[in-house]
Amino acid sequence: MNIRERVKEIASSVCPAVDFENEKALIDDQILESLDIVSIVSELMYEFEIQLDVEDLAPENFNSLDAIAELVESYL
Amino acid sequence: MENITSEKQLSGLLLHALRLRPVTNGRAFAAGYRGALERGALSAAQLSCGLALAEQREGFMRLHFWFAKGEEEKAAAELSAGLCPGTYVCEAAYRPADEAMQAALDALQSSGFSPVLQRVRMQAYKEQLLGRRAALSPSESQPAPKPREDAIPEPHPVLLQGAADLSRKLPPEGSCAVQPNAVGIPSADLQAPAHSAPKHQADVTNLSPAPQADQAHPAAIRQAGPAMAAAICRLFASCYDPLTGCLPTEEELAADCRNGLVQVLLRNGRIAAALHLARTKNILEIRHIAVDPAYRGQGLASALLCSMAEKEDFEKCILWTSPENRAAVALYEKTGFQTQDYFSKVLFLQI
Repeated sequence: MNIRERVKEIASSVCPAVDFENEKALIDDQILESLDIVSIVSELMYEFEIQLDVEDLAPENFNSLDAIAELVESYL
Repeated sequence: MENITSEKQLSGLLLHALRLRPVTNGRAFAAGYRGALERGALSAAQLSCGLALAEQREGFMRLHFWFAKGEEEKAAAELSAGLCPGTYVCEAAYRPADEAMQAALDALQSSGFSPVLQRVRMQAYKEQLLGRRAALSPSESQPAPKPREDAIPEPHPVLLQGAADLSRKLPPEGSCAVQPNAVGIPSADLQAPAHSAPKHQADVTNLSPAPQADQAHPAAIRQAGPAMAAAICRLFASCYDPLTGCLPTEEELAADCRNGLVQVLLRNGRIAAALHLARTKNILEIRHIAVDPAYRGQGLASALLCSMAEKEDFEKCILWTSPENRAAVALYEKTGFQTQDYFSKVLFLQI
């Protein structure tokens, strides 16, 4: 399973009702609630054993599945 | 608690909290606290298994928590023990299946916080609201039914004790208090005709003749300018509980007026009713809706909601309201809103 698929799996486990494949404004359109975002980010950090930088904790990095996957990949 | 002075400093704390895989009622990004940071109103306490943020509001502190899952009791106890004397309000949204949040709320209650209010989220799509316009007549004047006695929450003794200090009013018996939303989130209710005019009624308008029970003419509804912010704040302050009402400061409301997020309905040169919105792209949120007691029972709230449905560009509208406020729930349902399986609980602590 590639990184993007793993990220999608993790995000979908937190928010099973969200279409991560097609939603491109997860934060901007409030598709994800704050707690959802926190849960996804913390699960990603745990699963991939990565420590994000302060600068990475910004809405634009979590607005789409592609953006999230790109962020995770940058740490691997 | 340490003062937080920058988004970068806050982001560091949030990142640390994220590593705990927390349950939280807070915002995901530091940018969500920008307003509080600019006012110098944000402080934080790092816990052994969590984080607490406190935002100074008028007369109380609004608390956000991040508790490591499975450590809610320990974190809540540590949080509670570390608070300085003051008044604290904490609100968290949850779905029924959200066990971690339930655990966090239970832990806070075990640590001394008292539940004072519950809200439910309601939602409507624009087409649903437009479709229901015919069901709402501006001339509607039937008073809101008196809630059942057991639907009126018992005034919290601590809240009553502090009422003089905070000029706080709990909903008078027989009224339906408007309960705005607070989880990043706002909501609105209606007040049934109150027993007395709001304390600042004289300030709300120029001196004018007694209000006429005329129709809520659509032309009387207009966008509020920032100069109206003070009067609208006074109207909201007279209608909402200051602790649970998520009231904006005058500066915050003036900014929202400039952004076209506040509508007023005028009568004889007076602000008879006001609607305060929040917007995220195509999602509108009703933060506050209030009617001057002198004009209640005339369908003004309905008129504002109809106008919003017609004039605002949005896909979906949400609001948070107390499910015990049956008159408000009834009006929202009549307008086209439906309740969702999404609740919030407001907790209170006075030290």
